[in-house]
Amino acid sequence: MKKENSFTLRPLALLAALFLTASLPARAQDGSVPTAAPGQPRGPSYSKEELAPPPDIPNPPKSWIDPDTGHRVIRLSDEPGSDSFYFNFNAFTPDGKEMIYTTSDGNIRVLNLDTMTTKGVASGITRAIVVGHKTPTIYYTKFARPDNDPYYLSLWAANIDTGENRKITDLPRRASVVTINADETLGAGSYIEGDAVGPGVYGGGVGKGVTQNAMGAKNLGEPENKGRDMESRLQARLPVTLFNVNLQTGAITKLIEHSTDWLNHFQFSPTDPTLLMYCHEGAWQKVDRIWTIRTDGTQNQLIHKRIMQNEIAGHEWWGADGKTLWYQLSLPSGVQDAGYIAGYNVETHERIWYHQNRDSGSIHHNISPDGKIFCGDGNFRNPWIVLCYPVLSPDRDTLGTDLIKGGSLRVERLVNMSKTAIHNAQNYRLEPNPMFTPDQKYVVFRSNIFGPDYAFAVEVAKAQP
Amino acid sequence: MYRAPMTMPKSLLRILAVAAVLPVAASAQDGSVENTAANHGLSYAPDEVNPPPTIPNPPRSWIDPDTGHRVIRLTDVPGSDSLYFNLNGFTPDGKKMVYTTLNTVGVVDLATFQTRTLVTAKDPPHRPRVLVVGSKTPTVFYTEMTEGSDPNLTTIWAANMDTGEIRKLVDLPHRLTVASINADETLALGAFVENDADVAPETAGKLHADPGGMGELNLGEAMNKGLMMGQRLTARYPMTMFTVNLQTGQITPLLQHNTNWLNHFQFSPKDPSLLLFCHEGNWPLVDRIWTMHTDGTLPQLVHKRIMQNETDGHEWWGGDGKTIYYQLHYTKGMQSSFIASYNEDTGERTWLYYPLEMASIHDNSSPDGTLFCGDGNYNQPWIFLLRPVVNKDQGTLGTDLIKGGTVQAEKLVNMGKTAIHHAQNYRLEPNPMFTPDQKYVVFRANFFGPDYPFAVEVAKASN
Repeated sequence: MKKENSFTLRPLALLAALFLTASLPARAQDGSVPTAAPGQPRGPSYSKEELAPPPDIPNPPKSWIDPDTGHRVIRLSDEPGSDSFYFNFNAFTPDGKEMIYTTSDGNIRVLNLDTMTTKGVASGITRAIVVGHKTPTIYYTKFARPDNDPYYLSLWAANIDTGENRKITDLPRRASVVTINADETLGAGSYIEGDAVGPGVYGGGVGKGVTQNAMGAKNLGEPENKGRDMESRLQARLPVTLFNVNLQTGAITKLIEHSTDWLNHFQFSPTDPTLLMYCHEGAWQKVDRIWTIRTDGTQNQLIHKRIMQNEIAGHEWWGADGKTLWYQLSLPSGVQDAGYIAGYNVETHERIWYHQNRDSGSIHHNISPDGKIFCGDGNFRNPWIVLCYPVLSPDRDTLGTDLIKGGSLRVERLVNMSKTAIHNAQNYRLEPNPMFTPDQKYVVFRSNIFGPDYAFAVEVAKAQP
Repeated sequence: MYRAPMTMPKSLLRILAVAAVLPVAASAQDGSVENTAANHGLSYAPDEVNPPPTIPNPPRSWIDPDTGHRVIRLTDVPGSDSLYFNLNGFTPDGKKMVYTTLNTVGVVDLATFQTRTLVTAKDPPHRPRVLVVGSKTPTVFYTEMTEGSDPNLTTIWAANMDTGEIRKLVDLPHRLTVASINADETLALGAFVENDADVAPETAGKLHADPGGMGELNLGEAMNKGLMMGQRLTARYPMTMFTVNLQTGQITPLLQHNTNWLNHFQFSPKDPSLLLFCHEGNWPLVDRIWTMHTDGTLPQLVHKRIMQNETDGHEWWGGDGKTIYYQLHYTKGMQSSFIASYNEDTGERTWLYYPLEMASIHDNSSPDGTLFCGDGNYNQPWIFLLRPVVNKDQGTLGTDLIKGGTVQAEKLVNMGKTAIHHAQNYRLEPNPMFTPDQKYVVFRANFFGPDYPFAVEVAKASN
């Protein structure tokens, strides 16, 4: 980009960055939301009634038993405009006793899962990253400069137990960090190389403060024009660098440079400090999405190779073993009953596909720490928080090698996300993003069923009558 | 020298040999009866042992009360059947269709629905076995036991469906038989078990005898078919697949000493040099569908599985003679079944997803390739019309990608019990096929008791 352009466009760039860039931790890094019907362009589109959050319900209950499912639901946070994490970001301390959540005014708070009490941990953040797998540390970013120039962020850490906050390092221009490795020695992030501005920098990876494009002051939600803006960003083919940052020294190691693929959704393995998953972002059918790479830049490999037109893979996450990659697979997309939860073990290369049914359909799925149960957050057409019990099909002596195992899912509904006597219908522009607590007693999710966002937990076991 | 396993008693070998040979054309060549992915070994419910009770004077035509489509009974002969779904039964001009009875081969005129007998068995109970109607001339090709008393000898015959003229084509060597005729009617295709020391006489002896069935007037799959198929596969008899020149009788081996169970031979209806065949056996246990050229070009596997319990089968040629269609099933619990196609010329593939409610034992395609039909099954007793809906590509990254889509189903015939007929006993597989003008779907049924062939109108009956 020419110098004079970047100069004249700079104020616009700031605006664009504020408006279009990656979100607070509570949201997708900018996850695509494949909701299109067959024959229609992919990418999120929202109906009119989804543009605004549901009406406020004053004094929402702290807890109730869902009349349709018999499971107890608990409102975890009291701040209107508070959210649990994106489904594949770890929010739990290593001892499993505390959970991080964020508020709309840029604070990080911690919830004690035993006492259900909360306290502040950090403030003035641009993004919460993850809780460490080794220490009770929440990593986050803040603006590095007094003028809150969104091109310059600093990486910070807060000790959840002591409340001590410390700056780790200043990040390169336009860079963000979105994941921390298993032994908390490295962070990984990316930046757009150069000075490109405009719609093409959607998801450019810089902070935007707390005034972001959402449904309201107390409501997160996917951007209204997300599909269009994601397409612009993909088409722009802006050169991107993927890097590691050493959490001790602040040293930057570039893993991939000048990539014109839109590199995004970085997730370190929760057990292997040298293993990083990342994605080629964009409308899912237009990319080979899920990749792994070693922190020394070797073993860069595609995890799922498609065989069909419109076949899509995405909303990937690590199993707790740090070896199994899970993702949603649709083969082909648009065929409602040909969706799967797919698993790939990076060590054994074993693959498993669990067939989805209409009751299991969700924007995101997640898995319990012991790897035995899935959960899902439903969607506009299937507005339920669900448990999905996998049922593996026995092999019938099939001829062949390296064959994928197959199975199905048995669904149990946990929370009715439609309008009930207790709450409004969820506006699914806020994606509930389900996750099991470490003790597997709860599925945590976020919701706007009372108007403003809150974090919730539903008990996995049915409530005793 | 091949020897049967010492532990296997000779009586069992006889049973296996029977299971291995090709039954009459009206049933599968010995089609695996893959009731979707649900059941790889065959077993039938107790209520499937016997054919339905006979309904005297069954109607010649009626409008199905549940679908609004007119159904026509094509013959008046109790115990008559249309062909297996992937065998051509129609003359090139599309005006006549062949059918079989216990001891005869008949022709039905599709304009007048008049029938006449074309071939009568010379030596009952040895019966004529229909191979196929030619793609070029109005000829039905069939085999019979060669005149004389040696049941190991087979002769290929041809009967002109217009004139009734019958010609003897080739006396085949000891124990050889054939199952398909190529597009220009110059070659027949078959296979045999090479080493006959233990199995030959019994095997050949059954070649022309009782095809098995539910009764004297009822074809039907064997109750223990799954067991027999498993045993036959395990035996791994060495086989030869060959062509025979219908002019000269010259035998050309295409595959020899092959211990796969070679079966389901089908020439392309357009390309005389192109054929498909199968590795028979329970579907998960084999790589099933292969193509080959008559010049001996190496066989190509049509579908390579990627999953455990993934099965493909009930394959057929599209009317273009280039597209191979087949059913594709992922493992049972996945409820993921497709009508898959592979174009032999372009390599293009399409998978059309269908749900359990639209599942059939066999599917078939219309001559122009725009429609499909299905014959239902025990759980979905309907004759279906299936309209394909191919998804538009949404700019997918990649090369040689399979096209995806679905089918929309319209029910044509209720095969369950209605006011007009009994429920179909699905041990007789209806085996659907479009007539050349695509106005009808032909199938066979026992819902009046004995078997008859039927046609259902593709268009709804007007009031």
